[in-house]
Formats: sequence, structure tokens, C-alpha cells
Amino acid sequence: MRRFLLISATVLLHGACSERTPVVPQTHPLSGTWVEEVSQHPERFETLMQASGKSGWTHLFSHEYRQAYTAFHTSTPEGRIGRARAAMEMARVYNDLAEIQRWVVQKYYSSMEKNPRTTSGPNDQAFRIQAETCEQKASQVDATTDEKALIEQAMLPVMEDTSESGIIRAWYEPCLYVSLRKIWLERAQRVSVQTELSASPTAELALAIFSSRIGSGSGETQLALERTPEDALRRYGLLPAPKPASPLASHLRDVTDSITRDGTILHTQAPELGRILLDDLALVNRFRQDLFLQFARTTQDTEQRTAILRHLSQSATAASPGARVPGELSLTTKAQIKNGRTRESLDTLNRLHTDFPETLSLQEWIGDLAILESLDRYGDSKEN
Amino acid sequence: MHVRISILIASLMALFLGSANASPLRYAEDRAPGIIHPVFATTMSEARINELIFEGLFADNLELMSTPKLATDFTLSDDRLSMIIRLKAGVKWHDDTDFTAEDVVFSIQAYKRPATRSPEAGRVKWIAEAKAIDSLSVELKFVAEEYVPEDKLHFKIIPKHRFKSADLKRTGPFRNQPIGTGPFKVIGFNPDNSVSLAKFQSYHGHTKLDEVIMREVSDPNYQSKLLIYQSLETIVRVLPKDIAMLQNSRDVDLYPYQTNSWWYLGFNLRKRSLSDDLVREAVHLLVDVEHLLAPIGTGEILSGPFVKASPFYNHQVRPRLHNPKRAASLLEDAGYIHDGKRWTKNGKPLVFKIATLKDLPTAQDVVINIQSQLMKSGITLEPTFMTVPEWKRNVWQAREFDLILSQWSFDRNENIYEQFHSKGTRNFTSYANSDVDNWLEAARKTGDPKEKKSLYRQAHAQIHKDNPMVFLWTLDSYAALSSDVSNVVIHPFYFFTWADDWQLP
Repeated sequence: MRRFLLISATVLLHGACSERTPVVPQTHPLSGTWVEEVSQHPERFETLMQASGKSGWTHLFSHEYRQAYTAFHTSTPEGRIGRARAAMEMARVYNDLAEIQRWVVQKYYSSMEKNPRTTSGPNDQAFRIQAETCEQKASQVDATTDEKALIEQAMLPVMEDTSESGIIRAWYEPCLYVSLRKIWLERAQRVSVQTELSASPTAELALAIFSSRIGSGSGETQLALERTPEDALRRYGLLPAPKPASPLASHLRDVTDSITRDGTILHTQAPELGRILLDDLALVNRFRQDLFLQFARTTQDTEQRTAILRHLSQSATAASPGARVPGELSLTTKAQIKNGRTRESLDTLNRLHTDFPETLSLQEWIGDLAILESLDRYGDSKEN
Repeated sequence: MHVRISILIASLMALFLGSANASPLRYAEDRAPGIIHPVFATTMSEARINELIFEGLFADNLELMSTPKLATDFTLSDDRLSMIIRLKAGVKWHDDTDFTAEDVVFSIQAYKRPATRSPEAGRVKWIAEAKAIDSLSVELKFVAEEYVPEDKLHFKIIPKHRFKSADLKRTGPFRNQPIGTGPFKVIGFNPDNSVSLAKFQSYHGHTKLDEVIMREVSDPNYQSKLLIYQSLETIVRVLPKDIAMLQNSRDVDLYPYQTNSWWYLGFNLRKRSLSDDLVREAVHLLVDVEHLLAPIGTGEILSGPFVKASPFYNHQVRPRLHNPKRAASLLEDAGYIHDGKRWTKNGKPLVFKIATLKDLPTAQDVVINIQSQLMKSGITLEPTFMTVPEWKRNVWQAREFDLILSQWSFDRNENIYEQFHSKGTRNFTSYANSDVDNWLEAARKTGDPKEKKSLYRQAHAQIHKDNPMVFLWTLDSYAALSSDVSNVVIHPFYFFTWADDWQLP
């Protein structure tokens, strides 16, 4: 209760501050979060695991959403919530990829028009028209569509021709991710989270664990694709986003420090099993990582997106070295392309390819755009 | 161990003493630039420092589009065979002499002249003629039609008044007294191999940093420590093993710095034994690339001359797997006999000389590991660790080596013409395949991105098959900067292109 009062006071204080001087809660910033609940009451964590299928949570924790989706029990509310969350994470990644693809295809053809050296043939025209009808194509799929077939189809060129110089050219599917987004969104929406929440005591924990969510929020709307966990972002002075970039970087460091400090306090207060969970699963880092990911999502169209993503990347690597966080990679790819780093975005997308091999068609499109943008460059190479 | 600690303490003391006055931006290179002269730049450290001192007519803006730098604008002729470039007025060289159209014409001539033997000559090959129309206008005539010529006008301009003729010499005095029009001018080459640069007060743009110091810290193991101890502000390449440590420091920011770099073990195809496909294949199969990579960091093993994320990488081509048994059989087919200890032919043992640069400790470690791998199978490797002048002489010019271990870094165009075309200036292995030549030429000319991609992928497959080198790996690469440095944006290849905007408190 004392913690709750303290945090409420901090939030109120923050509300009175200006945009330029965001305040980071210095005392107990993890109060009321699932990190606190799991570390102080590890028996609830155990109950959740038993009720919903441990392997589902293991996969969700490791950002293996497709595997998580199939591993959760469907017979319990917690399992169904876990399943819905995994499906929503898939939909979020595909949403990013769909946006990237739309942007890249448009830019490819507009750049082609601007460069008198390049000419678009009838096949290009056909694809341009096809790319404009992706939403219409997506209307033909639903939660039960065999996505495997869609993906397999998109791993190979949908059309090839031979250029005047006898070179084979390939075109890849321009609408794949819009359809995949629809499939996974519908899968997530099949679970009525609001109903499930009242059905089980650990359902709220199932909704929040491994995320930056502070409370259960308003159920269904909190799972929406455009989810912005406003309560969490406001608590840490990240909504509205502080400006300019330099104080922002220092503010993000303050947030990191403040959360880390409270994690240490929770550790001293926790029972043995709680301490083991905090240490082994690096729960505090995981909470912070998702917080920054959500922050990056809310600021993806601002000028500060690159700085925020860089911070997120550092935070994500610190949370789980070597792990690939699909949401971070898809957001970073998007930011790089929007900042003119078309070729460099392929370095990021290449890391996503391991878990999402269906990004192949997007890699081909981005590759074509990157080549087009530097057709007239000399190209430099140096030793070491 | 004691020696290492003493070196570290000595370095720290030197750096602290060096930082007593202003607050310079101090950055570390594994190896100091061999030369500060854009016409002769061959290494990344040279390219990076040139970026602070010299400028081109055009440069990349933050979105990597060509934008005027020493130029203001240009007019392209209707037939696309010539252009007139208008130059910025009031630009000064670091010795306060005026920059003029004559400098542009002179620079193009200098790069082009066969006597100069510039490794950068390819940058101006497309220009047939350059003429000053007046002091601030230049006319360029092209060899063939050009569509976006500003994309090729990024090469650095040098001051005509500092040279006697356009036939330049790498060893000429300019290398020690370089002047450019860029935001920083050289104020000293220091005894510890560091180079001090000061803000150029008459710079035509803005510069927020007062001083930049390039420090040679040849052991990259120390660079991260120096950054943490605030004795450096910038490391251009962080060792993979240090990434986690730096990530956890609140005083350091990491920035991806992928320069499309790959390591290779090159075969000299002019050497009789290595001109034999069977021998090269055998050596390739004896090299356990995975085990070579493990001690130096994390990265991706490659099968050809592009990094895996490149649009040109041919994913159908797989790297050769370590296979000593098959290697032995190939050597037997090539006429070699294993006498229980080593491979011999006509009584002569199979011995190769392998060269790498002396000042690159990581490369030396890799060479020693290759030596040990081949020795186990009965092939003797004799390592030579060359100084930069020896490397230039023996590798770049005389091609006097059996095997070389080195690394190429490419900008985002990943143009491999110079490395694999039979007429390429950086084709150290003397590789020649007429199909590959045709594809590389066609790839340079085509205006169709899909065609270019296919051509390079074909070249990748053929080069892999011909096996002029063991393609090793590309490493995960980051730069690290002190969080005190603000407004940082790093150019994906040249690093310092926008350093005039960087700021220190």
C-alpha cells in the first residue's frame, strides 16, 4: 500500500511537470508491475505456468511467438490469453513488415520514374498495380487460412523474365505481410480477453507478464495492434516524449537506473524462489526492454526515432545477449528505410530472417531499391 | 601480463597528459593512417581521417543523397555528355589560399595520370576532360552518357598550388603537410603516431568541435578500457567481446558501423603450386573457418565476395566445409605424396609463405591459427608480418606472396570490380575469368537493378567455384562513443562525414 501511495504521488508530481523536464520515479518504479508480483509471490507464477502450459511462456519469453501460439493450452483462460498475446506479437511484426513493404514498393517505382536511366517494363507496371491491391487480397484470408502455403509461395519469385541482355530478373510477392497480419490479428481477436480476465485469478498476470504493462488495463483494447501502454510510459516520463534528443538520452539512462535500483530492492525483499526468478530470467531487464520497445513504437514517426531505437537495441542486448527481438528489428528496419539507410536496413532485416524466413521477399524488394538508389555511384573499397 | 598492464598504465598517463588543455574528440585507430593523401588512400583509417580534412564537390547528406559541398549547383547538357559545375565562393584551403576551379581540374588530372598510379583512379575514369571556365566554374566532358553525375563527384579535391605537377608521388611532401578545405586542419604528427587536428577557423561551413586527435592504439583490447576511463571519446570498431561491457556503461553509446567488410585468405594464382585448382581446393578444405572465427568474435561465414545481408550475396552458394579427408585425396590427385609427416612433390615439401600486416594483432592471431591447422595436415606455412611499406611493395605492387590474410571494406555499392576483374587494381590474387569480367563490366553499366543483382550473384557463384581465395567472415561491427558527444550521426562507410555537427560539452 505504501508503495502504491508513493508511486501515485510520483505520477501526480510528474503530471505537474513540463515536457522538458520529465521526472523518473526514484522510489519503487516497479510497484504494481508483474515483476513485483512474480518476485514477491512466486507461487502465483507457478500457478500460472501450470494453468497455461510452461512451454508457451518459455517461447513467449524467448520471442518465439509462432511456437508459443501452438504451445499454450487452449483449455484454460490463462492459456488462451497467452495464445492471444503470441498471435498479437506476430501481427505486430507483420504490421511493421507490411508497412515497410508498402513504403519500399512505392519508393522503388517512384525512384525508377525519376531516374531517366531506368525504364520500367510491363512486368513492373503489373506489379505496381498488384501492390496497390494488397488490402483487397488480404480480405480473402482469415484466421484459418493455411499461412504455410502463403509463405512457401512467397519464398520463390512469383515471376521471372529475361532481360534484353539475357539476364534473368525476378519479382517477388508484394502483398504477403498484409495477408499475414490479417491472419494473426484474427487469431488474436478470437480470444475475448475481457471475459477471460474474470474467469481466473492468474488471468491478469497472464496478460501482463514479460511485457511493460503495469495493470491489466482495459482488456481487449490493451491487446490492440496499435497498443500503447500509456500507464507505463507516463509513469516513467516517456509520454509525452521528452525533447530534444540529448536530454532524452540522459532521461532514458535515468529510467534504466531507476528501474534497476528498484529491481535490487525487490531482490532483497523477495523469497528465495522469487530471487531465483529475478536472476535467472532477468525479469527487470525484460520489463525495461518492453517498456523501451513500446516507447519506440509510439515515437516511430518522430525525428528522435533513431536515437530511441539505438537505446532500445542496447537495452535489448543487455536484457538477453544474442537474442533477436523481432519487434525491435522490424521497427529498426522501418526507421532505417525512412532515414534513407536502405542498404543498411538489410543488415537489420537479415537478423530477423533467421526467425522469419518469409522476410526473403521483402529483402529482395529492399535490395532492388538499395541498388536502384546507388546505380550511379562509383563504389569505394578499402583495406581493413 | 605485467608488460600489458604497464603498457596500459603508460597509455593512460600519456592520454591524460595529452588531455590537459581543451576538450578534444579523441578517437582510436588500430593503426595510424600510413599516409594522409586522398589520391593514395587505400585503408579505412586513411579514408576516415581524409573525411575530416578534405572535401569533394558533392557529399552524402544525412539521407545519403548527393548534396553540394564544394559545388553549389550544376547543369547537365541535353545529350548527357557534359556538365558545368558552379563552385562555392569564399572557400579557403587550410593555408588560407582561395579554392578555385583550377584545383578541381588539377585534382581530376592527378587522379587520372598513369604516372600517379592512384589506387583511386577509377573514380575519375568516366571523365574525358575537365576545363576551368572561370575561377568558380568547371566543365566536365564524359566518356559516355551520365545520368546522375553528382553521385560520382564525391572524390576529394586537392590544392593545385601545393604540387609541381599532376604526376603525383605517394612519397611526395604533401603526405606530411596535407591541406584540404574541410572542417579540420592538421596541426601535428606526434611522436606516438597520433595526429592532431584543429578546427579550421576559415571553414566555409560550421564546426562545433575544437580539436580532434587520432590516436593509434594498436591493441584493440585496450581501446574499450580507454573509452571507459574517459581517455578516448570514440572507438571506430569495438571488439565483439567488449560489446556487452560497453552496453552496460551509462557513459558510452554504441552505434552500428557495418562497412560491408569481409576477411579473406587469398591465393597468389601466379605461383605454380597455387595455380593448380586441386591444391587450392585442398588448402581451402583444410582451413576450419569456424574455429578460426571463434576466438576473434561473432560473425557470419561467407561463401563469396559479399556480406550475407547484401542484395548481391548468392544464398544458393554454400561455404565449403572443413574436410581434411577430401583435401588429402585432392592433394594425391595433384601428385603430392604424404610421407607420414608432410606433403611432398618430387621430393619438395609443400610450403607456403603467408603474409599479413604487422600492426594488426587480430590478423596475426588468425595467421598463427591457420598455420597450426595446415601444419597438422602436413603443409608448412611460413608467416611474414609486413610493415605498411612492405605490404604496399610486396602485395599491392610486386604481388610477391603465396597466401595473404587481409580484409576488404566496401561502401554500400559493394563494387567488387577492382578485386575480381582481370584488370582490377586491387586484384592481388591475379584472378582472371572472362565470364566474370563480362558480368562485372555489365553490372557497372546496367540501369536495371534486378539485372545488376543477377549479374553479381552469377559472379559470386563463379568466383566461389574458381576459388581464388578462402572467403572467411564478416564480423558484427559497432562503433562506441562517449555519451558526452552529442549530435552524433555516423556515416555507414566514411564515419566522420557529419562530424562537423558533433558536439562536446
